[in-house]
Amino acid sequence: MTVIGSPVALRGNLAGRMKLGDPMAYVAFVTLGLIIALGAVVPLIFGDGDVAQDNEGLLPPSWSHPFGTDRYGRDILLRSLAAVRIDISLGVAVALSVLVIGSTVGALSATFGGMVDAVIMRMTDILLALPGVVLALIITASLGKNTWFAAVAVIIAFIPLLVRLARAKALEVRSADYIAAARLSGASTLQVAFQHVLPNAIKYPFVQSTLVASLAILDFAALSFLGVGVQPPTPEWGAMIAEGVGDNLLGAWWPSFFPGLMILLSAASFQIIGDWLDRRLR
Amino acid sequence: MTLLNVEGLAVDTRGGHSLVRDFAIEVAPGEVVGIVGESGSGKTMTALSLLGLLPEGVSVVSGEASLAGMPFLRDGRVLRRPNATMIFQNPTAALNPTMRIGAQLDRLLAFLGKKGRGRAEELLESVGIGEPRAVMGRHPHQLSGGMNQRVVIAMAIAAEPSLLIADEPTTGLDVTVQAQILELIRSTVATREIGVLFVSHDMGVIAQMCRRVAVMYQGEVREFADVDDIFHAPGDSYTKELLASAAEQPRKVGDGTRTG
Amino acid sequence: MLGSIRRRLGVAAISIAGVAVLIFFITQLLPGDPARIAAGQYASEEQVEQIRARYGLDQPVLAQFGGYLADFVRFDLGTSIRTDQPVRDELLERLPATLELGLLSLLIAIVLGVVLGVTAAVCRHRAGDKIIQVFVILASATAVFWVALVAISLFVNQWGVFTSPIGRLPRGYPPPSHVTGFYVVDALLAGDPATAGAALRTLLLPALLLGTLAAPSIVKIVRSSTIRALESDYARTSRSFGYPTGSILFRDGLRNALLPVITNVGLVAGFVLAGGNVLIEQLFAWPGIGGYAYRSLQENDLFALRGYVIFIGVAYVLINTLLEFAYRWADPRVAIAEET
Repeated sequence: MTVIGSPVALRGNLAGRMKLGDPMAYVAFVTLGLIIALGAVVPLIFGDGDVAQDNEGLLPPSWSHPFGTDRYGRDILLRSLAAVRIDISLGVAVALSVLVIGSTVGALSATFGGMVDAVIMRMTDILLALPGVVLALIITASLGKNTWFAAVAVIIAFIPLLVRLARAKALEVRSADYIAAARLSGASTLQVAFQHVLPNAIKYPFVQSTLVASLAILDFAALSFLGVGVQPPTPEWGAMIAEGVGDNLLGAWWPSFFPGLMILLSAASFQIIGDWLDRRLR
Repeated sequence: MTLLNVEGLAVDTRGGHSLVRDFAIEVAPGEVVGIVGESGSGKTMTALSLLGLLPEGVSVVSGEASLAGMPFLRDGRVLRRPNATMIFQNPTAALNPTMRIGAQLDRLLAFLGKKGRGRAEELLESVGIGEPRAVMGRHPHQLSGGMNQRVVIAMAIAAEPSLLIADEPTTGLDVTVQAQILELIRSTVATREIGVLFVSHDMGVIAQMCRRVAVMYQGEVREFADVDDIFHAPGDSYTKELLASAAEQPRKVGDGTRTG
Repeated sequence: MLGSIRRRLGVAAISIAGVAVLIFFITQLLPGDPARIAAGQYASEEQVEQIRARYGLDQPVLAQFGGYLADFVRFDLGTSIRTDQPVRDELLERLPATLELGLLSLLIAIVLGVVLGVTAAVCRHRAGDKIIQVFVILASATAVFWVALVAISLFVNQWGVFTSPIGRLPRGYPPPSHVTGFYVVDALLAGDPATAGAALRTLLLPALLLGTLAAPSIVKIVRSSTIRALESDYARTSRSFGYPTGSILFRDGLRNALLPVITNVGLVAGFVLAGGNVLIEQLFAWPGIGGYAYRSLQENDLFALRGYVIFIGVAYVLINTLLEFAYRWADPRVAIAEET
């Protein structure tokens, strides 16, 4: 992923320059930074944790296995960190795709207006007529059960939200005076869209995309938990929780607990960062 | 014999910014005293501070005030609620949007211990509302600004205050309605011998309504004198400017809009 | 008034039609062979062909679409590949279990959301508000299936507060005779408070989980709208009369602050009845439609899954339309505007 050490240096710089002024945001940045850094570095050194230890499985947390081992004797800490690659980068990738596609469609819809706008709005309404997880579920089930299709499904589920937000912001901007001025000076509709409407419309969608990242991690983990996302033996937090269901009944709580904790920490960090960005933009 | 006496009132924001400094005024029973100034002069904050209605982050830091001999503000701290009520600039916004007028009146009358058949209708009639039952069945947004202001005045008087504070009560209303509301206030003052503190930025309205007026600029009182004296012999430089610009101000056009 | 009802129903009808088309598009027009998926990895070519013929998947697309629409209009949600039963019947059979759980969860979410939201608004900038904000963030970032496992681990295995999750009733309690399908209600109607109590206890854990996790969106909305109401001009008027804080909080604050919650309930309902529900029913051995969807998913029963999704889609559109009506009725400003 990234060069060893640079995420840490970046984090330090960030904290110094941006004057966070909010302890929770600071914690969120540090937590997320740590997770990403460890997830990038540790597997490079210690591997993905998919090599079973030669002892019996299901060892509770201990000094040698801080998160314990699963049924197959695999170290859960290592697997959880190996899963960072997929979960976090997928969350970010989904958020960025949704941001780019959704904002563009939304801004264009607002700029063109009329029939185009009506059709796009109708389409977002229909996509939003299903709860996100259910929509993603049926898409993945129909396309095939693997990571990429699940990612696409989650993207499709979130795009309508950003289309709406971008369109609303673009409409606000559209009726602003400087747009009329640009139009009067002969700019084409497309020019108006990309040079004026889009930049201003994108601020709030950008903040929203951190929330999307958080929810994308949750939804993707949910899909993997149901078995339609990541396929075993690929390490992924949701899938690991699913693997631990049976163990839970036997009283072994750790195979499911720690991956879920990682989800909580990552998703919460993205949300806190989003709230912080939101406040700074006002 | 003063009804309202305020001295040394100061209002600051949480960040230490001073909004009102060393404000002093007095109102006699049956008298309408004005506070005039442009926006940002601190006149509204002054009015709100007397009733403890300052918004978040703004507070009284010093001052003494008494009403009918009873002090209600000492050292910037509120001792008790003064027997005063207030009417506001946007009357429709000043009423609960999800409650019918009748319900809002009943709520006040119940609180004042004055419930009784027909009390609400009497109240509305006393402020010149011809069809009280119809009005009572409606919600604020279904009525005109003028009608809502009558309702607010009705409520303000129902509490039988010694002092009425009016913050730009006619701004934004039609000219004809303005005149009616001002007349209503005048007759109320006359019949009930209450004092009125009338806040406005409009010198013309102040001149119609008030005997004495305090001119405010950037949080301070520049002059406090009889209206006649101020108009004909303004002592303060700012007052002169204010009068000059008011004179230049074109009269309002008949449909209620301002020009210029 | 009637005009706006007709209009909304028209919009709802279009949305439902749109959902039908969308689902058909997803399940049959996207790349991926439904017959092969349904037959499973280890099926022979013969078996795949059999399925293809049986469900008309070998017909031209338009003919399939026509058949699909014809079925749709008749409320026929297809046939399960696994059980060969009509999906609609299987769903309706399981619906009461999910509804009972969903409604209790919804109630918990709304009560919790309103209480916390109002508290946060009243305690603005102080400790109470901060704590509630932390709760909101944690609850929004928690995977419902994870917290369910943790809860079962703690409350059932470790502390024994709740009985093992084996479904709607613990061992030793036969289900009450069917009237509504809601065990608590039916048990009470049959004069059996013991069974009602047992049913309520098994409902409690999953409902608390779903409800608590669904509450954050309500908390946020109630908090901001309560703050707005309390800082409004009309609240100021009330304060000028010296009304007690309780009166201002309820009649000026809540009355106006609760309006936006009505529309938000739709999202919450979507979570407790489908989105979140499908993730935890099988963990609690709950015999509802979520568990049905989960099993269909595991067994690649695409048609059963499709029937479930159509069902949810139509229900969601109807619920949201109903909520829109409720909002328009509740907010006098909107209700009047519609009439003029």
